[in-house]
This record gives sequence, C-alpha cells and structure tokens, in this order.
Amino acid sequence: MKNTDIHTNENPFLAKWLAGELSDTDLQKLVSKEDFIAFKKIKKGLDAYRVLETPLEKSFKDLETKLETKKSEKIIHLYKKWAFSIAASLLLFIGLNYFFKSNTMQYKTSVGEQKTFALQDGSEIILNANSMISFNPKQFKNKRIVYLQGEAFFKVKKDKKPFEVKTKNGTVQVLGTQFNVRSFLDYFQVHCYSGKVKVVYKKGEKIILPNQVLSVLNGKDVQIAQNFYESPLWIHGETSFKSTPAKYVFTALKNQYNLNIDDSKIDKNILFTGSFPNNNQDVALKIVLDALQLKAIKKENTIILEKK
Amino acid sequence: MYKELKDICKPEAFKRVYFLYAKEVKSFLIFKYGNVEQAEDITQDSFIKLWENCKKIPFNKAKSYLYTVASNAFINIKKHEQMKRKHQDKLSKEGTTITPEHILLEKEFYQRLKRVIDSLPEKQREVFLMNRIEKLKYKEIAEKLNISVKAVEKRMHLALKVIRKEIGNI
Repeated sequence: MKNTDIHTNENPFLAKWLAGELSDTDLQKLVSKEDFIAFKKIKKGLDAYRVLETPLEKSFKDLETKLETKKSEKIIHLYKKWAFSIAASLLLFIGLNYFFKSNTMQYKTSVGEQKTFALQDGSEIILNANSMISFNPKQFKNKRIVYLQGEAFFKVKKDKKPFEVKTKNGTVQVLGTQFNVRSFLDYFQVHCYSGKVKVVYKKGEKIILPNQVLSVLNGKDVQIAQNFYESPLWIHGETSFKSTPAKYVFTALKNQYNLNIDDSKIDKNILFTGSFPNNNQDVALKIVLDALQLKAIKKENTIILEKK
Repeated sequence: MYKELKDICKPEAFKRVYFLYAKEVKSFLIFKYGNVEQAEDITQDSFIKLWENCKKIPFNKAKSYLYTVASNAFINIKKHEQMKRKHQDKLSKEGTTITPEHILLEKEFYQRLKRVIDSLPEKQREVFLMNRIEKLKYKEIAEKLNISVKAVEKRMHLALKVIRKEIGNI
C-alpha cells in the first residue's frame, strides 16, 4: 500500500468507501491499482459474508414475514391486474365494435399463452393457453353468458343475475364465486374454489361446493374429487391431472408447447396422475413419458410415442 | 414423529428444511453464478415456492427442488438484465470503473476472507460485524458502543487494511 503506517491519523477513507460515502473513482486516486482491485474483491467477499454468515434464525424470521405479506399481496396483485385489464378491455371493446361492427367479443390465447381480462360486470377471467372465450356484450347486460373452449379460471362478481359458462361439454352456472373450467375434446372438469357452482352436462347435472372437482369424460363418466389448492396450478405455471386418460394430457401438452404428437401406437387411455411445468418443454415431456412408461422417437417435427 | 418430519407442510419440518439447505443454496448462487446481490432474495423466493408447493414435494426431493427453482430464477434475471443492457448500451457510455459483476468470487478466496475476519482484533471485529452482518450504520454503532463516529470509522479502516494485508495474493 502507498502508506503502510498502521498507527494512523490518516483519513479513514476505506471506511468511508465501504459505506458508500467515497466513490470508486476517488478510491482509485488513493491506492495502487493492485490494492484497488483487491479492495473491490474484498467488498464483494464482504457482501457474500453477510449473506452467508447471518444467523439462520434471523433470515428464517424474515422468510416468515415474507410469507405472511405474500398472502395479502396476492389479493392486491390480482386487483391491480384486474384494473389494468378493465382499461385494456374497454379499449378493446370500443375498438372492436368500431372496426368489426360484430356482435361478438372474443378473447383468444395462443399455445403457451395466458391472458387476464375483465368483463363489464367486473368479473375477472384468467384464460389458459390455446383457449377462447366469447360473448355478446350487448346481451351480457341482461344475461351473463360466456362461451368457453379450453380452460379458464373465473372470479365472478356477485349479482342477482346468474353467470353462465357454456362449453361444448356442458354448462356451469353460478351466482358469484370462483371456479375453474376445463373443456377440451370430450373432457369436462369444473373445480369450485368458493361459492356454489351448478354443473350441467350431457347425462345430468350436479352442484359442487368449494374444494370439489367434478370431472366428466365422454359425457357420462362422472367423478367428484377433493382438492384443497387455493387457486389453479396452471396460473402458477403448472398443469396438473389426476387419474386422467393420457390422451387428454397430450392435448394439454400441445396447448402449452408447439408439439406434434403421434399417439397412434399406444393405449391412449392409460391413466396419468401428476403435473408438468408450463415453461420447460423437455422437463414436461420427460415427466409425462416417465409416468406413463413411454418413450419418444423424434421424426422430423413429430414425436412418436411408443411403449418402453 | 418420523412421518411428521417428512411432511414439509408442517411448520417444524419446513423450518428444519430451511436450516438444512438455506446456506447451501445461498452458497450455490454466490459461487456458481457469482451472484451476491440477489442471492438472498432468490433463496428466500425459492423457499417461498417450496412452501407454496409443500403438499407435492416430499422431504427427500426438497433439496433438488430448491436448487432448480433458484437456478431458474437466476437465469430469468440474467435474461431480463441482458435485454435491459441491450437498450441501455445504445444510450450511454459506461465509465472506467470496474463493475462488481465482473469480479469472480472463488470459494477459496472467501474461506480465506472468513478466516481473516474471524481473527481480527476484538475491537475491530466487533465494529466490523455490527456493520457487515447487522447492517448498522457507523452512527448507530457509535451510539451503541458509546464511542465517537470517528472512532468507528478508524476501526473499520484499520480492519480493512488488515484484511488487505492478510488476504495476500488475489
């Protein structure tokens, strides 16, 4: 160092620099180049020291606080999304009406995409990948009906007028509540998160309560299961199925990723239970294939599935 | 009792997982990815995700889950920063100071640093830890120890000099 004197009345510039009261450029003027690089590295090492040597009790307490605030933040975050979407969808509403003069409003998502938007009554919809919601805005004021193809999570505003979600596989009626609807191919699943939901399908109808999941395959095989998650996994980036025939799982994979799947050589009805991530195609495929004991052969753009 | 420890959704089990792996995940982020600034936040977020998914993750899968989530979080941040930098480079010219990102921190260097800090003279070490670990400002340390701010600064300054001397070759 320039000044190796340890008993010092010299200006404690290193302390000031560490505290951010002295800039790097100023420090460079006071020490050699070698020392400057050394101090920069020491500073980084000291930051690491703090991260690594802080007593775990303290950082665990911080974590607990974060978990508490996260619970309340979630609600605020969704309301923010909702407010932004109302503005966006109002613009969209006006725009579409003006340009297309059509009677139908449509929201569509592409493969792997999710969209959040609000309806005129304040109900909020989160649309999963490769899905579509359509409705007639003028008629909506009198009868709250939307058409769904694919999957969406609904947060319906309480109102005297019932809210209906119509799909190819059945209808869901509610007054004001939160629920998830999945409808593709002949697979129909409704998960009630709060309130009461009436599901009407080909061979009958049923009212389900919070934490109940109603699955209807092919219009007739009905299953009611319990599920205590607070919101659909797909909103958090995962697609999940319980004892569901493989063919529906493949469709779900195709909704999230651009895949061509040839499942002609396998039994499409083997049951799958599990979940795959929506942001990692390789991991998702591996999970599904491993669970079903299948292997995949890539031919050009197609994935051909075979028994292992 | 054993069964309860396997279920991470139980607070005691979750706490145990934290105490087992938190430091490891932080080390992983700091030494493998060279990321100190966000190591703490990413680690906390990973444990939050673990908690939110506790029903689906058995105890013996917790460690790999944490590593995966932490890695992904870091990669996402890097991607985002890359995009930001692309835009910023067009707007401004950076000065000649060395940016922290370019300093690689080796585990071995860190171990030496730790040893040096642990063997600092008591007075310097006390002030040093209060500033570095408890994040107290010099003014607050002065009040706590009933000494002047100048005295605190002097001790920090000397501590840094000692560290520089003892750390030897970078």
